[in-house]
Amino acid sequence: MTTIQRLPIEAGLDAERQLLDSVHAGALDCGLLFWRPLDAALVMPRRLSRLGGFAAAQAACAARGWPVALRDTGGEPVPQSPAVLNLALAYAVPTGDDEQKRIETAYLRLCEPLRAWLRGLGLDPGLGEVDGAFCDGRYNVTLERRKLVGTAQRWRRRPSDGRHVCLAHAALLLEDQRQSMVAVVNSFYERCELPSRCRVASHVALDEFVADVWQATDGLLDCYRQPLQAAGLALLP
Amino acid sequence: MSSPILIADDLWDGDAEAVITAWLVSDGAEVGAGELVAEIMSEKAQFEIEAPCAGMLKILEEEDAVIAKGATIGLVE
Repeated sequence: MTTIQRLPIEAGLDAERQLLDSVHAGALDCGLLFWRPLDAALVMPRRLSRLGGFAAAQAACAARGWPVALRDTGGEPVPQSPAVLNLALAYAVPTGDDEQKRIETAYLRLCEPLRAWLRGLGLDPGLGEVDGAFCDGRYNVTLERRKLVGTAQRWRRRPSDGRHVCLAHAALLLEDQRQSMVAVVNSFYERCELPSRCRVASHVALDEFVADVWQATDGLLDCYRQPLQAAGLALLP
Repeated sequence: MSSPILIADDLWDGDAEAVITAWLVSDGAEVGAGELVAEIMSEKAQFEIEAPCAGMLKILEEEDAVIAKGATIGLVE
């Protein structure tokens, strides 16, 4: 059974940070958090608020039902809403891992259980970049070459033992809110005179394929236990 | 006497460059040893950069600057 916390976006981002803090402090070696936003917002780095046109863009996003939420960290604008399931995996790199491949390993440790879960739902997920997707990256989980899951990582070094500590994050679009999400991201880019644009057809939602998507998440946690345990990363019950 | 804020060679795989995505402390502010002062990003992986010691932060590379491994992005004086 996968327990999904329902949290306001700000609290969800805080919970992810606290999970990373716990691993960084040595309180645990591995933790996994599932959370679903209670509200909707276009989350973006604070530095974008210095762009010309930001105030007008912010007002336009809010008028569409997507208030802007600023975070202190970097990256690109990402829509968050109750249609999204967030998954955060934090761990200290096990001593048996190849340090030269720890970033790729972390992405695979995050994405492969997701792909196994999707295969269990009768789907054929891929992994890779998707032209026209917002916040694109090499480790998107895809269906029919459209982006279902976006991923990112955050790294720190633990001072007590020098081990690298990772927070790997995935955002899964479970309910089809693609039109509205892409529209608000493009609206923001346009009003800030940024050249980037994204396309609805580059994204996919799980409910285009699966009837009761939130019920389907029940088996997700179990897909992580065994591969993490095999890597020496035990999840607490 | 000043200590460099160095981008360690083993921070990420390969020779890709990174971008300074945020300075979390203002130029000229006092920082503590180990305090998070900046973030850099390479291929959607973000790395936290800490102050090597306590002192006054001097920023050498601004946000959005492209940097390579081994770069000095600031000093703690």
